[in-house]
Amino acid sequence: MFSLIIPYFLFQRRAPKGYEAPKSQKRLFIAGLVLLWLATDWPLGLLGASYLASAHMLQFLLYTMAVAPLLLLGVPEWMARRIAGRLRLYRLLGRCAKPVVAGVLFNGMLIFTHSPWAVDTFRASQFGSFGMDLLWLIGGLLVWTPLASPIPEHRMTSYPGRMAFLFLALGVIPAVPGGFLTFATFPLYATYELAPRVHGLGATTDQQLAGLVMKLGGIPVVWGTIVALMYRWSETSRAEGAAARGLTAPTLSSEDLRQSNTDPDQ
Amino acid sequence: MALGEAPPNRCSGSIKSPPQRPASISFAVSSKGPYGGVAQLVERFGRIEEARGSIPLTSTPFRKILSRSLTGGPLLIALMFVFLISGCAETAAESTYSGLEVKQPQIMPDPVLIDTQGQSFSMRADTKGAVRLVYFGFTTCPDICPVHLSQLSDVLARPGMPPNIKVLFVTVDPETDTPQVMRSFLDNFSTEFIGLTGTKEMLVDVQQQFSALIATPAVDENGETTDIGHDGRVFAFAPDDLGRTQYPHPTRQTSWTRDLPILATLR
Repeated sequence: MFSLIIPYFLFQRRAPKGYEAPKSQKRLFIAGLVLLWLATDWPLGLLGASYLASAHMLQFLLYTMAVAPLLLLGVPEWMARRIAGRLRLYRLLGRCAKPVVAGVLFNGMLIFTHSPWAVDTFRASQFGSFGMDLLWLIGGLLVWTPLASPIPEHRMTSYPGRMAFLFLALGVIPAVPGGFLTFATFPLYATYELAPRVHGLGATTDQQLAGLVMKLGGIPVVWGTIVALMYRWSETSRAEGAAARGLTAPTLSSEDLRQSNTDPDQ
Repeated sequence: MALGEAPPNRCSGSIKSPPQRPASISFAVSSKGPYGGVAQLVERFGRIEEARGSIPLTSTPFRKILSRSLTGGPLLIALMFVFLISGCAETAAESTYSGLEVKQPQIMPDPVLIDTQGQSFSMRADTKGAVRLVYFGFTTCPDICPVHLSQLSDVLARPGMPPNIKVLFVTVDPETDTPQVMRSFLDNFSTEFIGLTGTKEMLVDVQQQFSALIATPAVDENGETTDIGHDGRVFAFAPDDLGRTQYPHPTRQTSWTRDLPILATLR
């Protein structure tokens, strides 16, 4: 948390002269941090790390569907460019921001971090658990980069492309492991199966709940974003159409207008 | 075309005479571009290669997407395969039981204890013809006891499980675990589970008969019991009264589901 907060506010002091960060951008970053804290700390962090598969899945959703896009939206362009430049990450980020690359990497990470082997191995230790959380955050940042990167040339330009990417990368493929969890006859994860029960929730029921969270939890974010993109697309098209009409239509002077109002036969 | 001259855009096999770059292509590199000098050099290289014919001039976004999908697709499929098989790895073990096999099967002891109704209960005689799962624990146990009982409760509720399975929970903390306390504790898991208690001496004797580790309370500086160390195994006895296998903590539901029907058939 501190490794994100401190550099962010230190960097704000080094903003280019005359640049004033919009307050909404800072708010988005802070909202992302608050959600990151909620997903990582007690009680959700503890429950997800050791007791409930459903809590584990809720954490995953928070990291990838809420924290990552909010953090990306909260970083100003100049800051992203400066960080990418200093860490020599610009080209790597550019490559990872390609929709196919981002989609494959994110879904590869998703499947790996939800495989029984990975969950039972990583969740067995604090470092492993931290590593898994970090992987989720990086995966979330990756998958949202083509849509919400602070660096404009890393973002996808076409609206249909963005919507298709969202639907495929965040809507369709995550439903596959979600389906496995929902319809598995036995608990897949030893970590959660052999943990003391929380409020009498059985291991199989908890797993089914986790599958449902994975399958359905992302729907409001994915479809909400798609609807927002559609709206923006229609607004842009309308504005472009209006601009095009403005260019082609003959310009009428105020005198002509006055004449047309007074003389209906004209 | 002269003899020995390579056709354009094809590999000639001649090292000495590389194809000439068309003179019409010029490469102005400016450091003011949005990607900087390096990116422009990369672009310039790409254009040289295009002119040489080593990369196709008709490179389309679709082709790029296809080639990346072909490289990323197998990775995803491999990961899905890992996801699937890693959950089934435990069931592939080649042995009669998933639990710990006992080299020389032991006959089930038949001590008489007190059940949760306050009646005397003979552990073997009163459960004749059933699979007996004997476990030594205590109701205030924070982890192992509730996990074992919860696992058994889930497994026994599965369709297709044999009905003749009895779970016998023998307390190692008779002072706290009165018959009423035990009943309400066991009812959290199943009303069918049998709770048994007795005097301290009787219970130590029963643990010895079953070759279980004798439970020892951990006492703090003030002489108060903070925890009880006890045997974490479930001792399984088939309807033929022989104990062939034991189940330590942790035992997964897949192991129970595999073994219990086998044990139920041993008469």
